[in-house]
Amino acid sequence: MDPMPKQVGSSRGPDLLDEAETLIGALRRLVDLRPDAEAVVLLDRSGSEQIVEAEPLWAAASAFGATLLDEGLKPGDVVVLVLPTSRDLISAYFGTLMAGGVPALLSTPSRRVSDPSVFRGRVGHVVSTARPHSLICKSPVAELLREEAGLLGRTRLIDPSTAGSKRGESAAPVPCSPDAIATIQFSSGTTGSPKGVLVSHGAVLNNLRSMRDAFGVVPGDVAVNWIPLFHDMGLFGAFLLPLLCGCKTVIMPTEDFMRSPSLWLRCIDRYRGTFSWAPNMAYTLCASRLSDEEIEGVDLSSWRLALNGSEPVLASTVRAFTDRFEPYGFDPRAMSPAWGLAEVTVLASVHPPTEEPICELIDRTALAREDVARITADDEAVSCVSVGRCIPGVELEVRNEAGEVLADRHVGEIWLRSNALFQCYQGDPQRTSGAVVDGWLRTGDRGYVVAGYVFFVSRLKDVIVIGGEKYLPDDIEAVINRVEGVRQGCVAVFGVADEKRGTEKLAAVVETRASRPDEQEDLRAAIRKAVTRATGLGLGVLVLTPPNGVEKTTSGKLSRSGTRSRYRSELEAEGQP
Amino acid sequence: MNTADLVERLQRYLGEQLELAIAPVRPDEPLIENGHIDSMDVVRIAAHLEDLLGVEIPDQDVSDENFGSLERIVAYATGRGALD
Repeated sequence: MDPMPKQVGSSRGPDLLDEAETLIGALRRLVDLRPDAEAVVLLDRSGSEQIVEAEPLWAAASAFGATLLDEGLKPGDVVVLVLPTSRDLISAYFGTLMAGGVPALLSTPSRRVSDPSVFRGRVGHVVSTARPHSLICKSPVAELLREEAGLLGRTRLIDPSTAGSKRGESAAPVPCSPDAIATIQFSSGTTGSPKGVLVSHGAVLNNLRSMRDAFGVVPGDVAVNWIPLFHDMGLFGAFLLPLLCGCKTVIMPTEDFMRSPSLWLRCIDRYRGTFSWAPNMAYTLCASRLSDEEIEGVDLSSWRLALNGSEPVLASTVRAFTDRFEPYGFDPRAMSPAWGLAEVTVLASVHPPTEEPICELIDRTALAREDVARITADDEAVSCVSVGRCIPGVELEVRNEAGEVLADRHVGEIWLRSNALFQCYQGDPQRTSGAVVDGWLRTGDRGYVVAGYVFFVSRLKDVIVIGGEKYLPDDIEAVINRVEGVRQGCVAVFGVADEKRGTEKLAAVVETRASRPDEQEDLRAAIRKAVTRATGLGLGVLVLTPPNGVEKTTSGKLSRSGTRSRYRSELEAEGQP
Repeated sequence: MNTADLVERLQRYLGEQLELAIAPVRPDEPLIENGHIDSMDVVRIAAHLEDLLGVEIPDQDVSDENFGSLERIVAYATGRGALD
């Protein structure tokens, strides 16, 4: 059942992960066995590199931990880290763990589009639910947070430059058990109220070992990544996995990838990178928008694992990326669709890196009417890309609504059992017990299995995923409901496919009594402005309707899927040029 | 480069590079709010503007305020003293 990866790269060498019981234990083994290893390479825009060796990394982290202990940190206290990818962030993450604390990474505020009050609201929610001991950030962020009196409660603000200055005063790490919480992941709701997912040291280490075995990671591998570390794929996949397997871990700022996506490919070439993670959208972007001049001379032949995850993988993207980059040495087998969620730390399944991705064409009618994935040659078929096989330590079942396990090719909800299962949602035992039943996690994703290969079909939950970032429709509906002229509670927001960008875009159906064209024009502009201010996203499709245009269930509840079906033709028409 | 040149160059960039279906883009069209470009495109437009004008654009300037429409981009470039 489990994939048997081909061992690639140099010999395995001493294993860092197998004997460790905590993340700090694993880092200590790296320091003991390979003190001079160039553990992390941080790049800046000009291409100059900052190399962090294992021993100095340990020293900087323990200095950080010593500061937190001086500030009165107790075991299990939460420390929120609002820092860009940097040496400071790495020291703060491990320093918090060494002091017995629990790090929680949050994104730095986006100055690009959204309103600073949105960032403050997000931090305020985290402060009131997680009650962190401290929040580590640089002065511009500190100023932004101080502008709102009372926002931080008793949480201390600590500047990383002062926290890292206690070199030489470091103490031994505070001991902790494998069951202790290692990280809180804030996985959803970029607007509104993010939910915290708590994962233990044991769970994180189990997921790292399973990924290592499924990918066949060896110390000779080189990870080259730009995804931010506040994203689970970034923290566990792009940072901790390669670092604690003893691989060279190259990280470039996300902003630099966005400015110039070809830098990603150039860095893979420069460092002879072997593995890299990105959301589907990034592969689409590189396939469709990079000119020949931008990638002239790039050699991608070292890249054996191009993980494509954190949002639905599109067949068109897989094809376009492979076609575009095969002439540059890209191995078609390297494209490895993957699937996972924060509730199992990060990864549940991956396509074996030694096989080309599998794409099936499925009969649309059989899928809709019978919940069966039947192969067809029909033009109207739905493309489904396999997200591979379960990694070691993960079991999967597809079940119907009655909870019965379904046979191959039958579509139902995917349930998972994993040795990397989360412990609970922050302060929400009811939600936790709803998600985990008899040790099985209901994922809210619908799919089917064929001979052990998992195919993702759709989400049961209404979460919208754009470029790997999750957005809750409820939050965006709340924003639109506040716009004058909108009928309260009569707004449905959902994601619709954006093939051009290889991801989803936002769509909204909004009821209004405004009927004059000029009134409607003003209302449209006001809604679009409000959404962009709150989320940083544009509204891809906006449909205004008279009252009763939004579909409700018999009990009067808003039906997003019903509304989406009712407006299918308008949504498709508006989405078209 | 003068204002008209810049508008024309950016219109071409939006049409060809970002494959905007509304090309040629009206100068006051809100690009992000109306869902034509995303925040990642804004960063790319800023990088393109750096090449066109030979000025460096700091990250904190790359905002909807400065890059949300052609009009705003021209105003930003003028403010930076980069146009004739």
